[in-house]
Amino acid sequence: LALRRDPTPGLLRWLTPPPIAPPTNERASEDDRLRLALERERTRALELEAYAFRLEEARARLEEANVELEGFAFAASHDLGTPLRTVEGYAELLLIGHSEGLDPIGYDLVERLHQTTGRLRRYVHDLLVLSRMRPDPTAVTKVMAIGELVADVVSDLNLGQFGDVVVSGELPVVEVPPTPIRQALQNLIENGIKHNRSPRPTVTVRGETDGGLAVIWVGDNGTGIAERDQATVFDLFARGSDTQAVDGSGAGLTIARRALRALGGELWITSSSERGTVFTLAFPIRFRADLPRIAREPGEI
Amino acid sequence: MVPLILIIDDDADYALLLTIYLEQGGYRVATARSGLDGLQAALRLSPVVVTVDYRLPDLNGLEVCQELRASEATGEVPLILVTGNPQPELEEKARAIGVDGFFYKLDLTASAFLATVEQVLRRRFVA
Repeated sequence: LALRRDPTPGLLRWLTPPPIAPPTNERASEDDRLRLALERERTRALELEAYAFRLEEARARLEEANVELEGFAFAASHDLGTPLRTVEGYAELLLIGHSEGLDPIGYDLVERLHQTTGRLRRYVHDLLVLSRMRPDPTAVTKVMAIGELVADVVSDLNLGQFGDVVVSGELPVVEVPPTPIRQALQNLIENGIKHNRSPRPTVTVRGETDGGLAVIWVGDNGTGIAERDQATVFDLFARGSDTQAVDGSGAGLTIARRALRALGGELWITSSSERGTVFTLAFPIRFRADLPRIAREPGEI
Repeated sequence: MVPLILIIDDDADYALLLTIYLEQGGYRVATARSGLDGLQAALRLSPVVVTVDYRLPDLNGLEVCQELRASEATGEVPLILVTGNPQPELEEKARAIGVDGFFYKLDLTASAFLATVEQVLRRRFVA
């Protein structure tokens, strides 16, 4: 078995060793059989090592491709956002300051231009946020009371005219990177109010600690998400089959799940027409870059 | 005299939109298309506020802000860093070198931009 340089530049490949010839003598001694078994073991070990090497190589290439892809999403959204906002701004100026020069059809067209550009700008903004939302082992952590964070997010979102946000009981205090948890709570709370058709949309936030985990539930009093939509609700730009009238890019839940994963946690959904939609957020109370991912959903209180 | 605001941004279309908003808010506006032109204009025109785009063809926005802070003539002028990328780290760096306000390009509306300008003016001259 030898490590040789593949003709492809930079690649090292294991070459398969020649097969071991079976013993010609039917009555091989015990020693010969042992030697043969030992050789086979050795070959197997070397083959395994070669597989591990190739696997590591593939993993490194995949990681590189991922970083490149995220870099591309970031650069594209960064460079598209400003011109889009500029077009939207000019359309606004036309509508507000120069509408007397437009006939009704012209006014309607500019209005559509303005709305479409605005929607596109929000997509681009969400892509930008998404491309930045990835695990960062060097992230700076902060001690944060989730209750205060929720109050802060609610005040920033200015949702008073659309509905209520109720915090039920004490919420955990955690030590995590602030951006992902804030982003996740913001998107889930905003979603729970704006995609909610009850007469007075209400979002209830509850939480507890479970061993080293913080578990937060963000639930709404809406009519739930259709079962056929639940599987795709975290997909990028997924729109529920009955949410066409609601403004938004459809990236909010994708961003929220990615944010939880950046905290070493996970985000789940349960939804029914009777009980509304509940999002469960579970993540380590103290952020550590090397914690294994959470795979199982904690039970509800 | 009507107060003058200096916009340093190489994107002429975006700078024009800022100019219109600021003029609607009652300011006079001068624009510069690069960091070095901006530094010279700031010395020459004594603006009441300078808005600096982060991505410029020569210097970056932080470097321009640092130069403005270092000069005696412009050391006290309120500065707004304008960026297409909302990064908390960049905002922290900007605050550390004495930038007064931070504006995300995609959030631009006349009222949001004028509010940021008024906020940095208040913070500098009232506090």
